[in-house]
Amino acid sequence: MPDASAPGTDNPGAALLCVEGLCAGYSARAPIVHDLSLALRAGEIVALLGTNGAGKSTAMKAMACAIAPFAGRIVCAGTDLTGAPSWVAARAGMGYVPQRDNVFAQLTVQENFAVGARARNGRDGPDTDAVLALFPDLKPRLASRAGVLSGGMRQMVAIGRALLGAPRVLLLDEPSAGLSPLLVGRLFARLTSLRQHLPILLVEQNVRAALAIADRALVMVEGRLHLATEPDDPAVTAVLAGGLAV
Amino acid sequence: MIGAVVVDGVLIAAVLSLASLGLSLSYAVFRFPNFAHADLLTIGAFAAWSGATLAGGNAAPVLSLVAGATAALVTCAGVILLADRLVLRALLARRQSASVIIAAFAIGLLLRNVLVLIFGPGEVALDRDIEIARPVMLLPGLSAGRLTATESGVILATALLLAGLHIFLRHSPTGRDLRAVAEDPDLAGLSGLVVPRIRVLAWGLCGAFCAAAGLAILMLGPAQPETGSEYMLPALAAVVVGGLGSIWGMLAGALLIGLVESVTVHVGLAEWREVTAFALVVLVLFLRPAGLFGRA
Repeated sequence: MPDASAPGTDNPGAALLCVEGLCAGYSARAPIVHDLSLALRAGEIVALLGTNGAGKSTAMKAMACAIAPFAGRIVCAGTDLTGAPSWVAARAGMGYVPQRDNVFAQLTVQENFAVGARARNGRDGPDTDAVLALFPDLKPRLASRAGVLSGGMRQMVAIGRALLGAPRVLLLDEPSAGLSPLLVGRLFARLTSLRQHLPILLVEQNVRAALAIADRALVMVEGRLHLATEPDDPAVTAVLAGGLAV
Repeated sequence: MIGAVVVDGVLIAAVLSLASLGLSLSYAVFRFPNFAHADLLTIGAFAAWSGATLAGGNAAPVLSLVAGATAALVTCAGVILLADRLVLRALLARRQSASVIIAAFAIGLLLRNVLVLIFGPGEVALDRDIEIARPVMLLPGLSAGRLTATESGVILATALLLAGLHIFLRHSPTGRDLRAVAEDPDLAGLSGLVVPRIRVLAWGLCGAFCAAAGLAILMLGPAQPETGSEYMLPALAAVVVGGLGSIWGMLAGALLIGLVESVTVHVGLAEWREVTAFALVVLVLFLRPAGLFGRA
């Protein structure tokens, strides 16, 4: 069976996602994200943290080209995606799972997967069997409409849909939102198994769970990157608790 | 009596379904009632008449039918794609539904006035032999109604188009992509679907259904510049009663309206047929605000 966690052969340490000076939001007069720069390298999970309103989700939307940035540059696997439409980004290898509305509720699980595979653009990647090996709970529900599934299963469908597009990087926005602690543990264990060949940028409110699997932690405060450090650095929790003087 | 009521009701429903298909599809994909649809139906009828007449009319019935269908298809698809490219696309991108609806109204009026300038305000009709209505039994055990060959052809063509659309939407990769774009264009783009290309396909299909409806209307009787407008309200009612955006809901709505109109005519209250049909629309929406097959 093909391995869902082995889509690429990138050199460890090579940056597959480069973001430079990103400035984004919903109105040019009031940007939410200011001058954000980050790199996501092969083989790593990076946690992008911050309190509510820090601009994490907006930054992710801009990186996925769901919204156009006001300034800055976004490069995925060597392709400059600055200002590109979202489907160009997806076809260039940008896998993105939004926090909400992340499945096609009226389509079956199988159809959601088939739509996701449209982003493949000739790249090798996991097939449906490989995704089902990662999320076996979905196997008996392939013919079910995604809209009737539980929150946890929908999250699996959303991640599976992104994986079937054979992404070069995976951006996950709050994958644990609305899930029980047990499901969060299972989901994050599966994300860890993807790490080796698919770098993941993870926005998460569940700080402890995110730091447990992350290789690096980035903390945003009021739309700016405030801290880039190791996940076990006490400064991370200090900043998130409001102690900005680090 | 019951057989005749059912046969007449099915014929009304078939024409109404055909006239509503493009409206239902455009609502499902673009989420606004396309009021230019009425005038696209008229353009379909006039283009079909032009094509059929140029091809020889009654002297070459098969050739004129093919020419009429081709002319209607090319004209309707061309007009709606041009309207999309020049006006609707930009307004839809801004997600200002009021502007889109008003723009569609304006496009419809523009098209109607262009038709009057080209063809004049009068009616056009195919030059055809008088047809004899023959007994037709739709269901075993039901008494027969009467239909002409053209009327039977319109019912059959509607059934084939509905079945074809269903198969396309449910069982083809492109149909699945179209449903994905209809449900959530943002997520569809993020999944790698080239959304503008799929939307062009959707407009092309709407144009094709308007062409089919225009041809059917012309084959059943004369057409004039107001013909599409006469179908617009019942078509909108069928779409709303069935559930906005649901193709099968639209068919159910059209059947309901068709049967109620037919019953009203057969009990001798022909002048009340629209009153009863729209009273039914109000009743259905009162009981099920999202329509028969719509999701609240």
